Order: sequence, then C-alpha cells, then structure tokens
Amino acid sequence: MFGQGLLKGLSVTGRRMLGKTECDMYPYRKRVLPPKSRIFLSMRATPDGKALCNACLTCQQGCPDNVIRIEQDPEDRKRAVSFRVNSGRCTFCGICEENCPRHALTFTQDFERATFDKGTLTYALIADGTATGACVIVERTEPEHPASAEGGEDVG
Amino acid sequence: MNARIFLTQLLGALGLIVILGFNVIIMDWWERKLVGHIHRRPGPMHTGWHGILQPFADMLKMLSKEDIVPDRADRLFFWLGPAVAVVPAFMALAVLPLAPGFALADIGNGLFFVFAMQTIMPFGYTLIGWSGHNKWSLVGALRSAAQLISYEIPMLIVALGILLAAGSARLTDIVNAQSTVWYAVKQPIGLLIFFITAVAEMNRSPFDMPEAESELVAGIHTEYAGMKFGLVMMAEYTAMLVGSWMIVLLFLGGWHLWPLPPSPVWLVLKLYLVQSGIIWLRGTYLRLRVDTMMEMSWKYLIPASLANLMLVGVLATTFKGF
Repeated sequence: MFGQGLLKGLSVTGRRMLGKTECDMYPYRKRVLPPKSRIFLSMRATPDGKALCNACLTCQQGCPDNVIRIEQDPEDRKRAVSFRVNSGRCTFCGICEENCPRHALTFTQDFERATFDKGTLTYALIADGTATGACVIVERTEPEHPASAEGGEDVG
Repeated sequence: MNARIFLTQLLGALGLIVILGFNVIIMDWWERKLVGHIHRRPGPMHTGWHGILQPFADMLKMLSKEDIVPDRADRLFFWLGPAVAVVPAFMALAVLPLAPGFALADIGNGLFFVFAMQTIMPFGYTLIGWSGHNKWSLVGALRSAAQLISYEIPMLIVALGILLAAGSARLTDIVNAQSTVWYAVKQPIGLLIFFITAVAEMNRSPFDMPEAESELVAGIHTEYAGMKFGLVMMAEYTAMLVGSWMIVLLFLGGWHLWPLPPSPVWLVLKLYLVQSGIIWLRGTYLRLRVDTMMEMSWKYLIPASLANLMLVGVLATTFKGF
C-alpha cells in the first residue's frame, strides 16, 4: 500500500517518543561502575592515619609507566615518608595492586578528577609519613592473605 | 473612531504580541523536548525544571550578541527582510478567532485574508536570503520562493472546497458549520492535502528546503545573528502557529468537540496537538530532494486537490447540509 513506509516510520518514532531515554544523566545521577573497574589508586590506612604500606617498593619497581614514587624513611626503611602517584601517566593496568604484598593499594571507583592543571594530576597517598585524605580507612591493620581468607591452600 | 473601541483594539493587539512571544518560547522548548525524546535523549535538562527556562536563556543570548551585518550585504533589505517575514504572520493572527467572533477583527473575508498574508511571507524569505550576499542564502531564498508558490496552489484549491461546503469565508461561520461533524470527516482527502501543504508553507521538515542545514549551511538565515536571527525564528514559529490554527479551524472543528460544549480550550488543545504532530513529522522524515518536492506538488497534490474540489462540489450539490 502506498504510504505504508511513512506510517511505519511514524509508529517507530512515536514509540521512541513515549519510551524511556537512554542517556546517563551524569552529573545528577552517577553511573554504577563494574565492581572490577580500576580508576584511581587508594591506600588503606588505620583510623589514626597509619598507612598499611611498608615501603617495600614492589609497586614502584613493577610499574611500567613510572607512575609511583615512594620515599622511604632513612631511619625506619619499612616506613614510607611520601607515596606519590602521577595519574597523568597511569594506564590503570593494575599491576601495582596485584603486586602489593600487604594489599595496601586498592583501586577506587572515583573518576571525577578532571583538572585544568597538569601538575595537579599528581596526588599523594602518604605525605609526611601519614596517610592523606585520598586513603581508605580500615579497622584492621594486618589483612589476611586472600588465599587463606578464601579457605584455599597456603602458598607461602 | 470611537476611542473605547480603538483602545480595546490596541490592547488586544499588544496582548496578541505577548501571546505570540509565549507561543514561540513554549514551542521552542517543546520542539527540543519532543525531538530529543524521538532520539531517545531527554532534551534540555539543566535550566529550570526539565529545561523549561532554556528558551529564556537563548533569548538573553540572542539579545546580547553582536548585531553583525556582512560588508557587502544590502543593508536596507537586510534590516527589512525579517520584518517583512514576521509582520504578515502577525497580521494573519489578527483575524483567527479563538471563540465565536472573538478575534481582533472577525472579518467576512477572513479565510482569504489569511492566505493573502501567507502569500507575502515568501517575499520576506526571499529578501532575507537575497540581501545577505551569500550564495547559500540565495539558493535557499530561491528554493523558498519556488516551494511556497507551488504549495500555495493546492492549499487554496482545498480551501475552496471548504468554502463551497460552508458557504461563507468568515472563519467563525466555517467553524460553526462543524458543530457536530468536522470537515476532517467529510473531506479527509482535503485534510491530508491541506496538512501536507501547510507543513510545506511553514518551511518545516521534511519540506525545509530554504534552511537545508546539510546542504546550505543554514539556508536563508546563514548571515543573520543576534536578535535579527531571533526575529526570523519568531517568523517561522508564528507561521507554524498560523498554519496549525488554519488546520484546526478549517478541518478539526475549532472550538467544537461534540458532544461536549464548545470552548476555546478545545481549540488551544487541538492547536498544540497539531503542532506536536508537525514536530513528530520533523523527527521522523528525511528532507525531500528539491525536484521530488516540486514534483509532489505539481504532479500529485494539484490534481488530487482538483479532484477533491470536484468531489466536494458534487456532494455539496447532491446532499443538502453536506
């Protein structure tokens, strides 16, 4: 019939018009990210500002992009004075998190760190020996090994 | 002239201009919303409740923008163009009734007055396109002139059918002749042709040849900026209002919604329904090619409208009260 296609088009757009929109209303409603998503790094710390990091430098040495810079305390080499992350270079590969023996490094779901200044892309997780606001506060200082926590065999 | 009548008319005219401004603002927002939802977008959301203040923001932006006139433009006609486009649309509204006899001037020749005013509008569009000294605007203007002239013919022939059935060119009489059965039911072919030609007369998509943004940058108003561009937009939305109002008056029973009592509310409701339908068309169909558009008018719509006129003539002479 003549005009069938025209009517079909109208019905398609009419249904669209009455249906739901497919936009992320971003600033008003935040998107739920997948649980495994790797965005910005965070450090686990106790409520009194003590970070779990023992300055072993595994993450710094394993990082393919030289993102992490750790400064050890000259008197106590198991204590980090500063822990800086240059997120401008980070590819979010996740090797640092995987390598961390104390599970101190974790990824957060926070992605709203856009800036007009390149310098501000570097953020500190530990400054002057204490954990900064970018850290996640946890109650327990010594995390269990994930393998034993899951009831698996002890690799060590 | 009686001073009281003069004052009433003056206030009415001012009120009409205010209503027109509001109509442009509401339609601007509503069009963005509807087309947005057709695209599965929410449309404007930031300014006010669901972006209701967006047209006001746009208006402020237009008012504060620099009023640019191109170097080689014809300055006089560059100024005159938008006025010539917008004034006939306003004047046509003066005779369009909202309720029985409730218009600025409910003249006996209302039907023809509206068409006469609509005939002046392509002149304004041509001036707008020609004075900017830009090849895109000129092509848009020529297309506009060709399109509006060819689509006026079937539109007028269909209106003749209405005139034949109603026996009066007064718009109030035409509406009152549809107190029970609308002309949309009696003359469905007429409604179809009138709707298509009205959309073409408004320069709306799918007939937006003068402003073919994929081919002609912005068509006739490429060189316009600031409030002069706003005036061109106002002319377009007012033309849409006049066209939809004519559809409602001639075919959709105006203020009648049998068996409910007649009320201006029905008219306004139908008016905005028709305008929403036109926006729906815009969101659905692709722009016609220039030659197919001309072909549609001269090869199909004019013969069909003549056939419709003959059919209406035969029916009107055969059955009394058709």
